[in-house]
Amino acid sequence: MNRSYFKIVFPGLFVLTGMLGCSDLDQDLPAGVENPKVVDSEFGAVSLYRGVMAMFSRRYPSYVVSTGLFTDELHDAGQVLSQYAGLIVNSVDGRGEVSNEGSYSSLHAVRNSADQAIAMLHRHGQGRYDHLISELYSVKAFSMLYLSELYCSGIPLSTVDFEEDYTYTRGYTTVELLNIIDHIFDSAISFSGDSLRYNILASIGKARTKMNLGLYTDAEAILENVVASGTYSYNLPYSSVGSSFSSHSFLNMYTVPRNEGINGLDFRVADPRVRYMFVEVSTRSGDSVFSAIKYQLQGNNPSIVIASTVEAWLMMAELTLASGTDEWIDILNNLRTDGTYTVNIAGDTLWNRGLGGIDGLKPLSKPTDHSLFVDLIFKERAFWLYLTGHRQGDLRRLIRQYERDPNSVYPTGFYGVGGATFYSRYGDRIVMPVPIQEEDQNPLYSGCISEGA
Amino acid sequence: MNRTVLVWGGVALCCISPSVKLLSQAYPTVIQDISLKSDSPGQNKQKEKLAKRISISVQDSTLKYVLYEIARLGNLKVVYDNTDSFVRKRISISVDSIPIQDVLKTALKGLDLEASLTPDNATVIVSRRDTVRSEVNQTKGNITGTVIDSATGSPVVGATIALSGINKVTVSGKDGKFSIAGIPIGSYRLIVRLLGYKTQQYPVSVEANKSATVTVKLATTATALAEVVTTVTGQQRKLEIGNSIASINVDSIIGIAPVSNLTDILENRVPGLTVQRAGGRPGDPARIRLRGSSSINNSNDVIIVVDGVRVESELNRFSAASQGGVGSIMSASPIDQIDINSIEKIDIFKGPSAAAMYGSDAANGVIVITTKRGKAGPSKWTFSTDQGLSYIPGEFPEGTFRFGTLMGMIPGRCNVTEVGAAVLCDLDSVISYQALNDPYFNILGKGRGQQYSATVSGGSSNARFSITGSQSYDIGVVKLSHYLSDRFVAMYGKDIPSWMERPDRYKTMSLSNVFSLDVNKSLAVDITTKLYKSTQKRTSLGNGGIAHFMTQFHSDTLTASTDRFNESSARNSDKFTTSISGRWTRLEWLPIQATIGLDRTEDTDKTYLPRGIRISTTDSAGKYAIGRAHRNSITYTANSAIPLFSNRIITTVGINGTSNTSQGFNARTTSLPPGVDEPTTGFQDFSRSEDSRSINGWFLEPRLNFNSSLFASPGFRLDQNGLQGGKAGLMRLPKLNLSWLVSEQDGIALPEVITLLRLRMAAGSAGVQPGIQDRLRLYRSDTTAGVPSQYLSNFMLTTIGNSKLKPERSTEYEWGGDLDLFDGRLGIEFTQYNKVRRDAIVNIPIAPSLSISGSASVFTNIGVIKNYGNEISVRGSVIETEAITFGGTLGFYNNLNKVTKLSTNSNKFSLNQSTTSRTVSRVVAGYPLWGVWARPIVGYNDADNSGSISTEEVILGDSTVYLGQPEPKGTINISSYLTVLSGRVSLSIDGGFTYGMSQTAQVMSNLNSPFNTYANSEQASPLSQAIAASMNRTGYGVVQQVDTWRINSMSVRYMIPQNIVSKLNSRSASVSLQGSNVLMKSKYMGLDPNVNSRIYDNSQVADEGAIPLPRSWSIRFTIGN
Repeated sequence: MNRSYFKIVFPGLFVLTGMLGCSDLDQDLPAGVENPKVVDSEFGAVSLYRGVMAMFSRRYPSYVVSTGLFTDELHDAGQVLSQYAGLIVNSVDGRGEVSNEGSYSSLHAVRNSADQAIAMLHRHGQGRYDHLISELYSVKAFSMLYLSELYCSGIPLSTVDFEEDYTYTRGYTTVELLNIIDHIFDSAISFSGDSLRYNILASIGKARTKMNLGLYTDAEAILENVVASGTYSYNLPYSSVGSSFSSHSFLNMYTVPRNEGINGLDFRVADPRVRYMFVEVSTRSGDSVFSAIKYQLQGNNPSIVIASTVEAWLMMAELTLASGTDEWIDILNNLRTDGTYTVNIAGDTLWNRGLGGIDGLKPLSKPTDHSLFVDLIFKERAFWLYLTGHRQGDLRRLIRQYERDPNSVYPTGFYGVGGATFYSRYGDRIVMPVPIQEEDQNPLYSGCISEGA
Repeated sequence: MNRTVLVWGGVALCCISPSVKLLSQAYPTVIQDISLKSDSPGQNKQKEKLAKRISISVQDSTLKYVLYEIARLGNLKVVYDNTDSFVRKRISISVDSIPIQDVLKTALKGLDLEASLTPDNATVIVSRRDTVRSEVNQTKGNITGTVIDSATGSPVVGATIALSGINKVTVSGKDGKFSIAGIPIGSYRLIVRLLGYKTQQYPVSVEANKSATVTVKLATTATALAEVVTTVTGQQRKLEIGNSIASINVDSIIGIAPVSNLTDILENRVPGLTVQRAGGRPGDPARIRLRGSSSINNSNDVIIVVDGVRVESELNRFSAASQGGVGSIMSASPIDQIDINSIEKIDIFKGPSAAAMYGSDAANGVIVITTKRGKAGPSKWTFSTDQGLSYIPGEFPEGTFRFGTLMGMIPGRCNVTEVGAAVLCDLDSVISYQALNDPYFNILGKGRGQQYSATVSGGSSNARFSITGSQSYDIGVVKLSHYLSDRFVAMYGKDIPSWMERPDRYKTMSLSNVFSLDVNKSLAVDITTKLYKSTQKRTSLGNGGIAHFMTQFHSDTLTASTDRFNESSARNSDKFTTSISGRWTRLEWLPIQATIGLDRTEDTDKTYLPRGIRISTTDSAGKYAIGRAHRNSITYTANSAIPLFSNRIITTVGINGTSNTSQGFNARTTSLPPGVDEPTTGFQDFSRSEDSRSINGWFLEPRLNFNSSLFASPGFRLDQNGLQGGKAGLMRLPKLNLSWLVSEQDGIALPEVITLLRLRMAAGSAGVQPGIQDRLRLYRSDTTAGVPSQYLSNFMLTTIGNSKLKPERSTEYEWGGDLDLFDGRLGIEFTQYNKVRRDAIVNIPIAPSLSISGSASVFTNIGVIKNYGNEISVRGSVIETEAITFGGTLGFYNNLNKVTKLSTNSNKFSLNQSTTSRTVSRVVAGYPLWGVWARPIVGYNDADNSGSISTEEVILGDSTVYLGQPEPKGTINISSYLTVLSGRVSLSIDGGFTYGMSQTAQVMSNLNSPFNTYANSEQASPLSQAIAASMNRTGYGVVQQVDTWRINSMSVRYMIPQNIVSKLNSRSASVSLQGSNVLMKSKYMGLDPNVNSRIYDNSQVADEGAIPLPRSWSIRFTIGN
């Protein structure tokens, strides 16, 4: 009897409790969370792609503002020094008390999320979504490119492993990082198939990477194909509602500078590629604010240009200068007067593009000194690519590849904020340090390898 | 020499002992041929056993071995005297398929031995023939009797009855009866002993061929070890358990102490249990910790089981009305939503070694509550009522300053902001000031409270009931000040709304029923239901509590104060708990007990700002928030305590599990039109939350009884948790405890003053579960504004998850002893424990290179936290006479809490958490959990020569330093009682000393001192000077290590004379005057060192201006039949 009991009862207990212990994932998920089973599907894969693009669209503008402040594109006009301005004037360490991880983590977030989406599209797409995979590779590579341009040498590429946990990595030097980015753009090109749109996107990114590496010949080979394919622009859309460039704080906090820190360009000249308006400010700051309105003028559906033939031609101009020909000035003037290339401002009445009129872009005269050639090309880049996140990479290249003194490239001297509220001097920083949180939490990371250009 | 035999596996194993116990049962039936003389059902079973055919072939072996084989093959209990030489006689036997009784006869043949059955036919005894025969010598006499409880008259089971001078011992049976036969004629002393009772001696004369009859009345002693405690594996005598388990008889507390909830009952009565209260407003919750905190991120709350049902126990963080910053309300502790008048007993299992069988959620300890059961007989009823008042004792610290003379306005003093404005303020003097000591500005008055409770119980032998209904209503001490009242009337020309005058109200109602039904002889069922309903109303005093009102002068601060009284929050809580328990004993060897229960809570929050009318000129629109939450918990338990080997091993097997679900909903609007109470549209924010979790476990717990003096119970529980993602696995939770009753051990003679000496040890593991989805990688859709329309249908990775995440595990070792002296009049209990929490879960921030779209943190098993301490309890009854009794209890508890490890790379990781703006709580290896850290003030520099020190002019040290721990290092609890006039008047006092806790006196930071001390003043307050001299000043606040003496309660009770009581048709009635928080002594600079407005966090202790605990006095009247 006893034994019979045990034979019956014990298995019964296990079965009973096993049944009670069964957990239905569908029912237990918290509100707002997608069912992982749905995510792990073709629909989920495409939705993940959209998620990456949505994130990229929302977070890229803050990177643009960061680099703008760090260079001569924007000036902090707030009554209280922003974290970026604090970094610029070395009033904060940037690795300690004030977090500078906003753009850093945002760009990594895009990179990590792209990996998840790519893996899911590979699993469920069966070749049908290669063009989306190509785009995601490009988005990932651009995010890493932005990291390499804004931050110091020594950037880790930790991975959120697909269906695993995560892996921390050491910091990679800028050169190592650029080489990795180069390969990722290769993947984007190979998956682009017959899509010219994604092929050119990756190609321009790859060319930009090569330029950063100083591999001009390689860059030229890529760009010849790009410019031969006609006019192209890859625009990152974002909603005007709540976006970085239309918010109240942006309008009042940031001003379009004039010769920022002595070395900066005068962005307040009448140039259709940089648009600003005077904002009467009485509360936030004692300064007058000239707010950048380039994107607001685009209407309800503005977009930032990530890559275009304008940039390709600008790179070509630089490459022809490097090759010793004068073709570069023709390229620059063609961009200004051809009429093909715009800055995507709808309803523009000031810029009679292609006409070279008083209000338009007149043809440039060739300077007499070679160093001024470089200045002119980089100035044209600064205006054509104003507030698109290119300026920081350009300034670093001027130091790294054109051997300019950092003090002649980056703003120097006094940095004023909010009238007399805060007045300090620019610091020596030309790259942003990796946030201290990386060092705190990543056991394989021990800080920047180099903070030079 | 008497001998005893220990039965193990059906075979006697040992031993020699000075007293006969197991064989001392009278067995008058001598069965020389193993035949049976009656046909009772039990005998039939035995007959079946003895008739079982076995085969055995043993050559030249000891009789002991042969008996062992017979027992094993026949699945029998066979006992013999292991010390007698016959067991070593060598015999040979070879039989094939013959009945056991014939095998025994064959084996014993020629050895002058015989076999007999015990009266219960449970055991075959092998003994020398002459021994047995001598006991039935007809020239001797017998003693029979009954042992009963002197107070209740109920039979006492298991008492040991011994005769002095001869070695005759027996044990009282189920009905308290006993019998000793074969006693040589003469006079003896009958000595009757049982743990928990005073030993009694009776003279008795034995005459030839007669039976003397004795009724033994045993009176209880103070020892607690005789009590039975209820665990998930069933009921067990405390003396058999190797843990220190605290038990509280609730009625004994309610009768003499001003307790209004369970927290009151637990506070200061259990060494190892600490209580920190959120504040002194009605319904404020309390944080209860057993043997220190061990979880960094997870709950440190104990789990609570009521009548077998696990009820909500975590402090309720859900506060719907706080959504959107409209306001919030602190909900009462779940433990206080149990009507104390319905409780019979509370057992507190302090650590994982005691709570191991409760499984992977019980590492913080378990509080088991058993409600009152009805007893057969005429209905009994009791009724009680309390009427009382409360107030904040003493004066508030004068930490603020009023400067100079205000010019050109209402005559008065300036405030700090006016110091620099020379036009307004003539800086001719400075005085310290405290608005809450000024009757015109004070917002604290006298509170009121009342409580009613009635219990009715009774029933027949087959159906019994107990019903308790209670109601309480408290009005808090917060009131509208005269200043605010005058201002309101002057500004708005309206009468003050009644709710605004006394905004803090707390009303509770409860009804508890227990129905016990004996369906038949083998099936009994208990059905319990508990309904609880509370309404909690209060106004928001702002984040700083009354700190805001402490700093009020006559400026803008007061304008804002008015508006704070305009905010009104209410929380309605409804709770329903029910259980059905059944005990089925049809098969004696397979008793089954099962319980299934449900605990359901529904909360509704509403907050209005302002409420009803809009009186603020700055608020353009009213705000309103509403939230609802439902929480359900289903518990099931089934076990069977299988008796083996004559009850020497009780093996309990069973299952136990809990399933919890919760749902929450919040909404708010900030555009509530004036006068509109219940908007149906216009909500701006909605949020919804859901959670669920389940745990299912299997347990096995053999309880071994070695000669009734040594008990061991190893155990093992396997838990399946509901964690999603990764490999689930089963959590293995072992335990072992040993309890050695040295004073009951044969062969050990202790001094007579020692009534009881027990040594014990226990070890075990229990767990704490992470969140059910903490392992998962989760995705959400981002459809907020700003997402481009073409990407709206998206999924974003929001949590990385950790597929390797596992529950936290606590392992605890404890050892100690219990010593009762002088017939239990002095009892000492000592326990030392060492509790280590491994795999403590930390939601560690991930490096930004691992960023995704959402949470930048991952739950990780990373911490090791140790709690090590001692508990000593001394209980004494100093005077025990008919007229006067005097005694008390002294308890001591200390605990060393330390984070011993945070990861394998501990230098790389420390966890900061700044839950307030004033101090930093930090988890650092080598320091107590959530220690308080801050940068110290190292100097001042009045750079602008303003005469006052601004915050910027305070010089802070370069780095943070450790300042103290958030939980006490230890407590001393004292309670005493005195009864005079034969118990008619009694006085009881209890209180204690708490030391070593660091409290952040944030309210002091909110005052103007020390930062804004008027530097040149010679009139700075002593308080300000004291603060300036303190080494614990920090850049964030005043952190102080706090030692506190407090008399928690005092009561004087008068039993109304019987001649009056009988006219009320009752048997007893009493009236008592009771006071709580009667006295508090501390050097704490803030308001109350034991209030903690951060009660919901594991991390922080800070008063932040929470209202101190009020002092209350009440009159209680109790009557019953």
